[in-house]
Amino acid sequence: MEIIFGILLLVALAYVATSATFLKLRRATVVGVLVSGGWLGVLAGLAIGPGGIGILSPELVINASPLLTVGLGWIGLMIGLQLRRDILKQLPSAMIRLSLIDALASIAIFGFAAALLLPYWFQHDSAIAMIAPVALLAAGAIGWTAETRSLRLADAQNSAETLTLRGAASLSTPVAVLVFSFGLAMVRGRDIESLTFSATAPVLRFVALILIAIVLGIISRFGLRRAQGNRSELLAIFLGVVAIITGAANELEMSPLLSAMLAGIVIANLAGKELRKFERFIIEAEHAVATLYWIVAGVLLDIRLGPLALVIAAAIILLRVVCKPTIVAMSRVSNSSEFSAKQLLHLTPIRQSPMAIMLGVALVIAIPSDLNHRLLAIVALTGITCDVIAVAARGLRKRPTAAEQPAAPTEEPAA
Amino acid sequence: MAETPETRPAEQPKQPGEDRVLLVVIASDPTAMDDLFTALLDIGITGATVVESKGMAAVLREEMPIFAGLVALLPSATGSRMLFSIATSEQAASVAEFIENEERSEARPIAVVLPVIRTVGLRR
Repeated sequence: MEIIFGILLLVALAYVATSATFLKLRRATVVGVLVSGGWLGVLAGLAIGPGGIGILSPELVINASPLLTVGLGWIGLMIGLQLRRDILKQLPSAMIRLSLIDALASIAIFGFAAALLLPYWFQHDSAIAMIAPVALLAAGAIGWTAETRSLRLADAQNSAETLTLRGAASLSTPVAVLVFSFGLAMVRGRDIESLTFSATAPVLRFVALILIAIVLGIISRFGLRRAQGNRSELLAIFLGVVAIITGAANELEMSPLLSAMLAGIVIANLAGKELRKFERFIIEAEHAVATLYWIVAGVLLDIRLGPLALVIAAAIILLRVVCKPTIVAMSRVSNSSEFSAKQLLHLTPIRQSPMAIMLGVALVIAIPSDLNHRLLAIVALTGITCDVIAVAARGLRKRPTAAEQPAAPTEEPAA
Repeated sequence: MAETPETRPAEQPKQPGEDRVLLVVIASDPTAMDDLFTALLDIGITGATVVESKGMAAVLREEMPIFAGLVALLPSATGSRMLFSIATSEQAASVAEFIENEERSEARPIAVVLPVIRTVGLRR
């Protein structure tokens, strides 16, 4: 009974968070940042969780993990459906280059920092227990938010720089899912004391998942043709796809995010014109599903962070503020001297990707240890702090006056 | 000097087929518009302007992407269209009847009929 009440409460909160009032609120600068980062949802979850009035407990949420796994499957499918050949072919090389450089640099820098710092905080004998948390912090650091509107850099809103940043952020999401899922698949078991390690098994299981995804893609294509856009039939196909692929992932001990993403990629590239309705049907729920998981994250995170955990959070924030704009600058995505473009390129990459929180929830559901609950709190803390830094820096950096701006080159009069 | 009702020229009685209205149809399902085109021709409407469109919810969602930001970046056909046509009220009534009775409920477009005060440049 408690589980049903808890689920109803979460759904009701997600419904309120996607209401017209909230749609209006998120168009304001500060609230827009809070909503797009998911922080209002996380705070709502914190308020109803054990840290607040205690209506929902983390144990109750963990008990509802089969349902949450389906939700993660929904997110994975959404990510995978974007990776269509026709879309990927149109992407500019600068966008792909930026995404690749950022992914490699983030895995190296943040993965190394996490591997270095986490053992001091965890104080756990087994190095195996570190693998999934290191994977979370490395994968969570890949990319940045694809939402650029709330920084209110109107001049740059439709610029090439905005498109490159948003595209690279979107491309980073599947990479983050892949990195996290492989890290998680290397360890087997739910109890942190009895985890076992395997480096080769994830590769074999990954291949098995691809085969299942291909079969499922072919069946889905047939189903989508039969459905002819009927919403109830689309819902049946969607639930069937998610149930089969997340079930397979569960059997193979792989992340539902990865398995559903693979299914999404296959469906996106096999289905014909019927795909558009299916895609729209799934993407329409993007904000509601995200809000639901932000609230779940708020319930699951444990805010009892000691000084060492705060040091780790501060290190991640510092690395983001320093490294991310540097990575973008090194990728040479723009030579623009426009103030708005430069500010956008500097501030947007500081903001953490909303996917980081989803990966944190996926980790807690897979291995519900105390340390992982606190790790989720670190991810939330770094995310909200980076958003605040980006907004504050935008406010502090004043636009140069006309007198301060370099003079525009004038045409030489004809001789 | 302001024109008083007494000085306004008397309105000529309208001939059948002269009462023009603006027919606006918004369809999010491309197949619905396909059926509608056939119906319009059957009803006698041979001219209309069709515009590719996008719903407000889609625009709001796209400006704040969370997981699905890539699709929103590239120009693509939404499948959603708006149709404008100057028609007679009889023709508009037939179109409304077709939409109400013939179109599948899940694909049914939104139709609006507005009075037209004056038209310029309309070729018939």
